[in-house]
Amino acid sequence: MNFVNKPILNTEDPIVLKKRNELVTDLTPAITNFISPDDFASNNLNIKFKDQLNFNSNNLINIEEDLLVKDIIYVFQGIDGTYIKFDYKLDSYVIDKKLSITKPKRDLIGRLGEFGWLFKKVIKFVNNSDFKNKGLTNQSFCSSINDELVEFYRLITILESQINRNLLMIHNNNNNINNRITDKEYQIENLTLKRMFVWIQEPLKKLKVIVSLIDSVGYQMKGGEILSVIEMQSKHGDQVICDLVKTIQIKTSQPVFAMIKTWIFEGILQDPFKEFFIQQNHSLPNERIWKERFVLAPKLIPCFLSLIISKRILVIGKSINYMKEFFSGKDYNIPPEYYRSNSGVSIDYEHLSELDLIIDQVSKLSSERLLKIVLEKFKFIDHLKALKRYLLLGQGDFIQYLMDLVGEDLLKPVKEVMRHKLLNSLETAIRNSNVQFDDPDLKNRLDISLLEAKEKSIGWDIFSLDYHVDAPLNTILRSTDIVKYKKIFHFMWGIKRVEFSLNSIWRKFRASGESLRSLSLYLADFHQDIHRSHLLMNEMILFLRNLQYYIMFEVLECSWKQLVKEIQEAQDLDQLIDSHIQYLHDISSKTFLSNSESTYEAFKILQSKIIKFTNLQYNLFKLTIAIQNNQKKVSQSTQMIAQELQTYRNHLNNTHQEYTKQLNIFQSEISLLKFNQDLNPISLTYMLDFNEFYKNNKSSNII
Amino acid sequence: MPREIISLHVGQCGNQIGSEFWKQLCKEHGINPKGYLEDFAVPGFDRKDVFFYQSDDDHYVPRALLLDLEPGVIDTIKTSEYANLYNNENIFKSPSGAGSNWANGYSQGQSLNDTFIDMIDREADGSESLEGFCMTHSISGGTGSGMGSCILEMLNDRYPKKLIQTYSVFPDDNQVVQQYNSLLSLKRLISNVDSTVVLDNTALHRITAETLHIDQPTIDQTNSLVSTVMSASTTTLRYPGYMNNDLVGMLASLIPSPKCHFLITGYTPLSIDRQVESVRKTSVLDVMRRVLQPQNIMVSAPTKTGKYISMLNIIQGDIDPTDIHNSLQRIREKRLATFIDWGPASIQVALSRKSPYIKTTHKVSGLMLANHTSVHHLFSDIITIYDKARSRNAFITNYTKESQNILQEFDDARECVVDLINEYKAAESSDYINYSMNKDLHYQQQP
Repeated sequence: MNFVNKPILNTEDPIVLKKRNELVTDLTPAITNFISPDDFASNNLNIKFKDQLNFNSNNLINIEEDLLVKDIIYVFQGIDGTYIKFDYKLDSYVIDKKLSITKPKRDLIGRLGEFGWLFKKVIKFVNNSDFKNKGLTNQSFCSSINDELVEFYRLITILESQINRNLLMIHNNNNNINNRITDKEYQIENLTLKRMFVWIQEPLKKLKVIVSLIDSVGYQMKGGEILSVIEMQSKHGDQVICDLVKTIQIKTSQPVFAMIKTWIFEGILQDPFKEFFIQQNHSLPNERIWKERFVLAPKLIPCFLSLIISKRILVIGKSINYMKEFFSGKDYNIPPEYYRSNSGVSIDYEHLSELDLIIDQVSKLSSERLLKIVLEKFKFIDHLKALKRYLLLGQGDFIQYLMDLVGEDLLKPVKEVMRHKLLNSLETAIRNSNVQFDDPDLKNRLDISLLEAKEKSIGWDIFSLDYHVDAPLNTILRSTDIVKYKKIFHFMWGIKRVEFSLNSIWRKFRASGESLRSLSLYLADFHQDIHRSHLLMNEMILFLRNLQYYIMFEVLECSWKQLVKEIQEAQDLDQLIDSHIQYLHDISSKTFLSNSESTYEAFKILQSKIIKFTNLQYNLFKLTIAIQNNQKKVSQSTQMIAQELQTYRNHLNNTHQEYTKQLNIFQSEISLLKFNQDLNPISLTYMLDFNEFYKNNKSSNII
Repeated sequence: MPREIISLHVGQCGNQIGSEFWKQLCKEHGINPKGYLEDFAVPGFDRKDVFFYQSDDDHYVPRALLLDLEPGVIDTIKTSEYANLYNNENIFKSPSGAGSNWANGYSQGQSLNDTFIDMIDREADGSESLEGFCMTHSISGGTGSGMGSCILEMLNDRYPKKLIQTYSVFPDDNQVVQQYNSLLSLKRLISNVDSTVVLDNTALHRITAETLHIDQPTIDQTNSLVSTVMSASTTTLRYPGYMNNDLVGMLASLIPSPKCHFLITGYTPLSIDRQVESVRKTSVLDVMRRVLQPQNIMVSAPTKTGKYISMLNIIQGDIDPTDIHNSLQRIREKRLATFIDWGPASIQVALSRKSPYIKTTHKVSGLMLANHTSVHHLFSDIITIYDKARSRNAFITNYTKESQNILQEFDDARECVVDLINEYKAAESSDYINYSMNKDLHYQQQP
């Protein structure tokens, strides 16, 4: 029977009560219904005591009570008596069937036999080495029961001495006629079955409790499981039972409390039997150490410790353990005076109510220490700031420099993209931007990684900045986090790239104003197309900028603000790490990188339309340059130029339509998103259409 | 790459503004008047290489050319504590003056063309990835307008791929000569410049009188307003962040159509030498609202009429980025700014860091850079006065004696400006997308 997964039962619980009753009622009939006429013939009497027995008229043997009393003493110790023996088949003590015993006496013996039955069970349990080998808690459980058994042995000794006195008295009685005790006196002084029954009432109660504990614990439990079972039985209305269970619990829980002690004060897990509710995972990679090296084993948490307290105990020990491992050279143990000074409390079951306070103080101390160390020695916030500036493009001059340097290279197909060349550019960008003044420990972590290439990928598709995290930093800033940063980088870098190329087209438009105007000579009203191009480009530029404003204000800065707040409020490393994970999650979901594939897809298509537009413009500029360079030959190819311009016009119209359509799709994707509680892209919806141009356009189209 | 910007300060006004601008920049970057970094200045926060370069002895030298046809202002600079800041090779002064005559300034500019080309080329060669040029000048005098025009043409011709931006001071009175000069300069601003920040003397005087309560503002005081605007509008270039790190990006979002590139500005809180005006409460919304108020706009055009084509608010100081969204929403709800309806348009917001070396009484300051259709009123005013004066041939001989082709110049310039006015007017209608740029059509439209 395993109570552990059930809620704590108090003793008023019908299940427990019923269990006890069953125990009692099960036994009594087993002993009382022992004689059947069929068995009679086969019964075989012990000849040795034959002379003491009187056969009655039914050919049954009458027996003196004191013989039975003597037998019961054996039975009490779980040993077979002369007339009362354990029958393994019936799983109960059985009185020799040839004895003639009155029904009330037989009942009485049956009830006394229960004690023996229970006792036997307990002895069997505490001597089971399989159980004891499961752990220290098991051992102390057995030894605490053994301690209780001592009481019973004492009782038995007393009873035995009573019998001896009886015998002595009988003996005296026989030898000393003068002092002959009357029958009546004998009846008073003598240990009878009835008297015995009275004697054992209190011990029997206790024994039943112990057996009930044993039954609940079973042979499979260990550590906290056992403690939980004991705890469930401790809340009993009967003070005697209550005290008994508590005594057992105090002793049984000693090993676990000792483990808690070395764990929270020294960060050492002393648990050879793996019975502690904190378990260690071995040989984990660095970045999983903090979160996964030590974990709670919920099954093994004693139910008198709440999950919250258990978690805090876990965190305290792992903090000390972590500091010892990664910041060696200092003593991170909690100084003994730190907890002893607090009115000399000790950590055990008796002082359970004070544990909260100790945990509170120790956890505060160790968490503060660890946080301080992580923030100072790891420069955690500096790294987050650096990541924000490098991978989330906050350091504008660096990003711009880098883009200027690698832009051309990244237009090449993947196989022509040379990593070393990109690395050179990265170096140059670092050297020439404000990144040069950064802490070397930050800027030296910058690297370039090339993502997995798909077919037809070009450099832009695979380029990513990277940030090295090594041990022990990677225990809290894990490479899985960096992967998320890289994803966001890729998204934002893509936007910047398109913005840059639109800007460069804007510049080219300015630079080639004259030659563009002259194109009207080849195709009538071509200036109209240029004008449309300007406005379409403006639409695109504004779209990208508004999207970036959204990313900057609504996503990055807001999330960052939240992160900084949470870091300041963090009370332990877990909170620190979790708030960073949440930060990355926020950014990812608000930039459609997680949970909103269709939005992201819509954006990607929209982006490709813009790139299509930029290519169209580049071709136009090429044409104007060609025209300028071949001024003299132009007359011959006027027709051709006109044709090309016509193609441009058609493409421009197409692109415009496609862009408008796709923008529409993207906008409706966003408006769908707002139903997602995690996201608030309303600001994006409205930033993208501040003057309600698209809204009005849409409604006028509908009309 | 650094995307350097070379500044050209032309004429009296241009140099006065320029010297104020560099004073301000030096303060903001912790550079002392001699060009050396102050002890308290820490690297890594700002980006000085856009506007300065470092000489061999760590001296920060402005990428600036100081050009004037009269010695006065430059001599003042050369005797000020900032005398050694500038590269002496980049200073050109002549004793002659231009006599408040565009044609005179222009022709002197032409004869000095080679000198200037040398200076500019040398400066351009010293930069790694030149972004463009930035000229400060007045368009109504002789040197800044005439010689300035000449230089703009030269720059456009010689560096066609570089951006050219001007901070141009428009005249504040209706003197015919000033309007003549302005008209002729405007043609260059329209054809040779990518972006002009219009600083209207009328508005500057109104601000000093009404907002700052200075009855007789000195030139320095008005110019410090201009330098405030200039330094604010370049903060995102000097303090790099996630966005707006280059001039081209900022301009591309503000100027959809090449010709309509005349930007107006608004600034808050306005003060001179930062000694007065502590603003009670400065939230993002306050700043955004104030920069839209006519009394804070440095152009006398009626911004309550017409439409915003685009707007960028550069907000400096300690603000909560989460406020921006709400502020924008409020401004939209209250319809504090009317935008064009032929395309998307919005208030863009750039948050910029503030120099840690300058203590200000206000927590937040804001600059609005906007493209607003009503700016055409400034041009229309010039045309009106020009037309009247021209019909009387007033002061025309001043110009014809300098140049034979000047009448043709006037006609061309007028046509060019009218074109611009028409385009701005067209931009107010929702049919702007079909607006024709065909000059011939406009010729026919003009009576």
